[in-house]
Amino acid sequence: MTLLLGIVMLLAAISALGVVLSRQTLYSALSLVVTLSMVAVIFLLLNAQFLFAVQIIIYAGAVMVLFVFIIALLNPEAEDRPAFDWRSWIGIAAVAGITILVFVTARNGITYNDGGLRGAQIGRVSDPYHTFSFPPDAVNAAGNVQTVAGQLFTTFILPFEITSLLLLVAAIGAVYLTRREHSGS
Amino acid sequence: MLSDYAPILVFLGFVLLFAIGVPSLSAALGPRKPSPAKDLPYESGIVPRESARRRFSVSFYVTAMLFIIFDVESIFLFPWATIVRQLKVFGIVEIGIFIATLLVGLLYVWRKGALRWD
Repeated sequence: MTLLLGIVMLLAAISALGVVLSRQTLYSALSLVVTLSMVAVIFLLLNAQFLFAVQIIIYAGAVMVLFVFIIALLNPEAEDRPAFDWRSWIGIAAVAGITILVFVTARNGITYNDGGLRGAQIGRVSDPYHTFSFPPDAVNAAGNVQTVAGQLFTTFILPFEITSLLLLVAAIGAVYLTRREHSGS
Repeated sequence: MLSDYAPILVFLGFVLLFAIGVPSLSAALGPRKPSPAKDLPYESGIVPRESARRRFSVSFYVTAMLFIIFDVESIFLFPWATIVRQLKVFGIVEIGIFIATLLVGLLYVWRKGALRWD
């Protein structure tokens, strides 16, 4: 289990490097498909089957279609790459620093903790009426999708409804930004 | 639990074997007579007329964007459908508001003519 998770994480990291280091933009996009698929497998190994399906359908499917279309639309050439100089190292240091910070805080249980104090606190705030812990066996017995749906459509009803507004803004924005100007102004 | 996915692992193994095996067998056994015509991109048998590296219409982008938006909408309908009986009227009203909001978007997109291809 842990070994499998390690292999999948390694493949995700390698393909993520491929995204950054590929000379061809389309190869980066294809590497990103592998990365997103590996993240989906990590979801699966973490007993989040619904998120696995969503990750495949939304990210590896729809979002990648959009990325490939954008590559075709903007048609970036290999020589359009920015030069690699001392400013790049600032970016690399920032990304590495934030990544290490996230991992350290996660290890200390600030962002998540199975049954620890912080997790229980978040649980009381976000969902005072239900137990916050969702052990794999209980979730699988009730059904993974049903458990997600039960939380999504009752506890998190406001974020869910706001999502529709977000999608509405995205739809209007996409059409507005790409509209053709018919008037002479 | 995890062993339920063993068939998928076997399947992936066969896929990998096939993907590596067939091209290498073809390279090892097949005759090789390169010619300029064979290096041309295959375009339904006709000779390519111009470079493929040209800009595509923005309509592709709009279509992909709208596809993602309504794809995400449909993703929310799947978990909702599994517990629609437990949620009763509350669930119908809840998803009704969600769909109505996005229906406004669809009507806007429709009225603006973004669904037409021209």
